[in-house]
Amino acid sequence: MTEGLAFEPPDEPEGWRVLGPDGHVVASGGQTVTEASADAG
Amino acid sequence: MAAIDQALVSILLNGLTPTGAAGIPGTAIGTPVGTSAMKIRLNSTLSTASAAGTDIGTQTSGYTAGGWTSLGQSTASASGTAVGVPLTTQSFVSSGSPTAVVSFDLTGSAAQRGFWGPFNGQPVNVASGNTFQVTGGSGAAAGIQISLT
Repeated sequence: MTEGLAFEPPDEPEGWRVLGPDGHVVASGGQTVTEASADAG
Repeated sequence: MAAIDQALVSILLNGLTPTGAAGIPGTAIGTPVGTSAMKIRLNSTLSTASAAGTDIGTQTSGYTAGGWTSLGQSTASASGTAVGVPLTTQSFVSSGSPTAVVSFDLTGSAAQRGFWGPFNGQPVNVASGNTFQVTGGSGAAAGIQISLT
């Protein structure tokens, strides 16, 4: 087996997650970014 | 799309522009979200710039109608950086009603609205007995980032 560079996806922080009763992660999502725009002109 | 309550938009604009008598800055900023600890309200419907979504209501544990409390003191913004909330990880165990979390509102202790947003991937289904968690942390590590750009 050829050894190569392992690809790792960007380490994006999890903003939320759903855990089962035993603590395993059922689902998760990235950060929620709230933005408000200020337009000039 | 702006993710800030429209009433708060006006308060900020009026407090930072010469809308007062003879062109002095307006005095509208005041304390629009109160002076007590803030909350994160979770909603089963989507909040809008005009109104909060429908509160998920009191759950089996970890969430009482009105929002999560004891968020912790977020790291203050400096040079325009975002503010991350919550500092302390928040979670609740679902009663199964409702079954979905859609959006949040960052509110004052008396439900005054400020910033809001949909959760990525919403609706987030949280079955009865499962736990929904928002990651706490300092600055960029927090699950919700509040910014003005």
